[in-house]
Amino acid sequence: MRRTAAIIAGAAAFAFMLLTVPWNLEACVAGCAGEETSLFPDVALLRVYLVEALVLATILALILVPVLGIRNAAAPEESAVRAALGETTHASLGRALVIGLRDGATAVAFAYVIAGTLHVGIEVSRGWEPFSASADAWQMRLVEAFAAVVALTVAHGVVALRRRGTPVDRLHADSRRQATGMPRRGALAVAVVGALAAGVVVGLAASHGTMPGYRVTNAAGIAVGIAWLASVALAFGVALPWARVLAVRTLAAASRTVAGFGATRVGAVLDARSRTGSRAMGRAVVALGGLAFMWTAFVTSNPGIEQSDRYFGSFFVWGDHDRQETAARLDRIEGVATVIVAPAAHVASTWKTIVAVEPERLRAVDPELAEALTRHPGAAAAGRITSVTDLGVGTAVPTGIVPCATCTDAYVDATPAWERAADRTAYLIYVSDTADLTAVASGMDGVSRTGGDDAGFGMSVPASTDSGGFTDMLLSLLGGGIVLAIPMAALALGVIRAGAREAATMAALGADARSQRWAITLEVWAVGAVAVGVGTVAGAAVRIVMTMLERARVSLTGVITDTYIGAGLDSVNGTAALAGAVGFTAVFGAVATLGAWMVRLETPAQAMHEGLVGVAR
Amino acid sequence: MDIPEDQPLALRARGLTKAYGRGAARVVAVDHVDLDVPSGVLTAVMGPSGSGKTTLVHLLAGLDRPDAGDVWVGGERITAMRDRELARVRGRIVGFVFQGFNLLQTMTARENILLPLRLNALPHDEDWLDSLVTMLGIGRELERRPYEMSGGQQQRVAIARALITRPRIVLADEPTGNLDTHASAEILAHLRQSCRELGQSVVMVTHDPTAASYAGRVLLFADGKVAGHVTDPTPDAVLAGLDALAGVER
Repeated sequence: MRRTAAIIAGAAAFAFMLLTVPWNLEACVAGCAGEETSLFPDVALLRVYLVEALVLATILALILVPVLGIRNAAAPEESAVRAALGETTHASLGRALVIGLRDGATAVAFAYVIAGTLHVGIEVSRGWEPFSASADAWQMRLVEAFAAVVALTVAHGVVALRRRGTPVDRLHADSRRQATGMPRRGALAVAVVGALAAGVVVGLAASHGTMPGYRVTNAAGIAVGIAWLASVALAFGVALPWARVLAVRTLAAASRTVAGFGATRVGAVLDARSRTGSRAMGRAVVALGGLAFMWTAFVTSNPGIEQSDRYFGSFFVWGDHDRQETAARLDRIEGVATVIVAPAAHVASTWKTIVAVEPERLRAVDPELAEALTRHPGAAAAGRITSVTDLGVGTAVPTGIVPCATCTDAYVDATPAWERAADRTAYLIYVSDTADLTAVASGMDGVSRTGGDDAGFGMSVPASTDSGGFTDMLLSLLGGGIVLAIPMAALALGVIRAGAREAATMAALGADARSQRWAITLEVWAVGAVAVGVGTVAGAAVRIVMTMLERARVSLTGVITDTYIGAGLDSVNGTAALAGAVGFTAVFGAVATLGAWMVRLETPAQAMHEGLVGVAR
Repeated sequence: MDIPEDQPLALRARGLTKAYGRGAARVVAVDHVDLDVPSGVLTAVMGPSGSGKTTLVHLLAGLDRPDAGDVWVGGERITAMRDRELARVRGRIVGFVFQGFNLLQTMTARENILLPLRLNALPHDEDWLDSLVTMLGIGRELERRPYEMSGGQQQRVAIARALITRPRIVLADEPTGNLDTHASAEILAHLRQSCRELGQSVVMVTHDPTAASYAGRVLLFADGKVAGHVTDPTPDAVLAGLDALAGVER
């Protein structure tokens, strides 16, 4: 399964890379421009990237380890044979790391080049200069590539190091009953550590006010990190191994049901295949469940208020200019319905722009944003979860932050302090239902080109139409899902091949090919549904808990959360999770079904000799 | 031993040919073999390693498809059969003992033995199972999995599995290869008894002249062809036949 593991690593990296491709470039005006981002990220951004890479690499490695363990039961484990012939653990590890590095680099290089080609292709096709949009996407993809290579290398290393028992023990390891996951004491210890970490976060949040100092915020951050690791460990150490047990029980029930309907041969084959949960099937459950877990836990919704669908973006002008004239020109652009003029302040150190607008002026066009500013007077509605100090200008500092899912800029109630702090004017553009967004963008661009020498201009668009990050539009989700389906397909075929010897034996004992094919079909659908179901539920549970803890942590920097449970539930991207669960199960089941029914038929003797196919006749 | 014309045949092969590989690597494992196996006779196949014995029994059992030639099992031409018919023959008419046992590693010995009954929707006869278990001495192994058993114990379970459906024909690839002398003698005596009393036909591949001496007929196989046979074999007669095959003077 070495090749399958490499495909999975490459496909997973590619899936995440697709999320950073600027698919919606025509609606992206200033937000996608590369001028804001250096090719070399600053230290803070680099730290964020590296943390993301570490989490990605950890989960991917947890998936790849079982995949590498899937093999034909007839073939002796290579490392066991090598150990029997005198290979040391050190040499085995070195060989494994080199293989992982080489395979990972090859797979990921393909992914990076394809994603990059798509990126440039979209830029050129939309009239942009190559490499001019979303410069940070190239860095993001590089980090994702790095994470995938590290994951595959580590996975190979773990498999090489996991030499339990003597070489003889390991030659028979595939036959043994599979362990049902982390020992109870270990699971309890991890759960206790996770709970303690969560307790630390909640305790700090409850006992400290806003901005208590970096020691407290750092301690909370570390505790959140530990809680993340504990959650992932419990998912892979308890939930997914339990899915293995559940899969075996499901197969046994399916076997009885099928036999009850008169298909005794199919029932017998299915029963034989499900008897104890072979290592190949058990590992497939963990790998499949792991992918579903990763998908649900990381492809999330950003909980928070949302701006109106009609909000197109903001146009900023600083320096001398005629506000009324500018507003009128913007208002005359075809498709623009409303222009709201408001003072704004830019915080250069954090690239944040704060727009001070009276909620009542927003009420008619942007009711949710207006309501948030009304309900939390003095607070800012802001996109990225940050600190109130990031939004402070002189004495004007918000009292808190209301999370906003779509806000690129921050919004505060217009008070004299904010008006004094303003250094520019914001023109909030709301469009009509039928507006041609490209034409509106072009019109805004025209206004900026004729604004006068003394004025400076800038634009921003809602976060939902921006590119980059993990929470992008449906197209990229769909693209990512399709790409993640590739490893599902590889895994499905690997599982069928791994059962070739058993299939050949059953054929020799009188099982016809049709019965075997039906049994494999039922097996993969049942196993796929159980694995993906458990992985999705575990991913959603972890997402909910971690969102609540993250919200508690950021409350130390001023983020206001009305309901932690609500924020947690909102953070699960239900559509993506459901689509992923259905899609992964369908792809795994369909590919394995196709494989079972269309694979070249070999005789039992050939299958036993070569271990090439899963169905013998 | 010449087969009387009126003796029914359990197996018949004509022009049976099977080759592996291509070009310079092509090896003809079974080369235009004509063979008649009478009913109710224990037949041993002997020959040097790599002579094609295993391929021959695979072809006779319908586990492999010949490149040319035909095989008849009890008068039915299995080389022309479709998958479902072939499965019926494998499951109900033929019992096969694999050289590598091929026990399903995730099932207990009992489950392995009973598997052919389940796969072929045949009734479970507890008395027959008991008698097989007693004869093969695997009563204490029934709830163990193959990896918990010795090679000899696995081989006995494999033999029990081949016999559980009371097949008319048993094909066995080295069925006593992992057994001690005493156990081998017991099993071979049982197979011979089955042939005589129940009309069962057994074809076994073996390297052991003593095991071959239990047979009513020994086929000497070399280079993919039947090179001779020994009738009413004794260990010495079998050895002499093999030596003659190898051109060795004793």
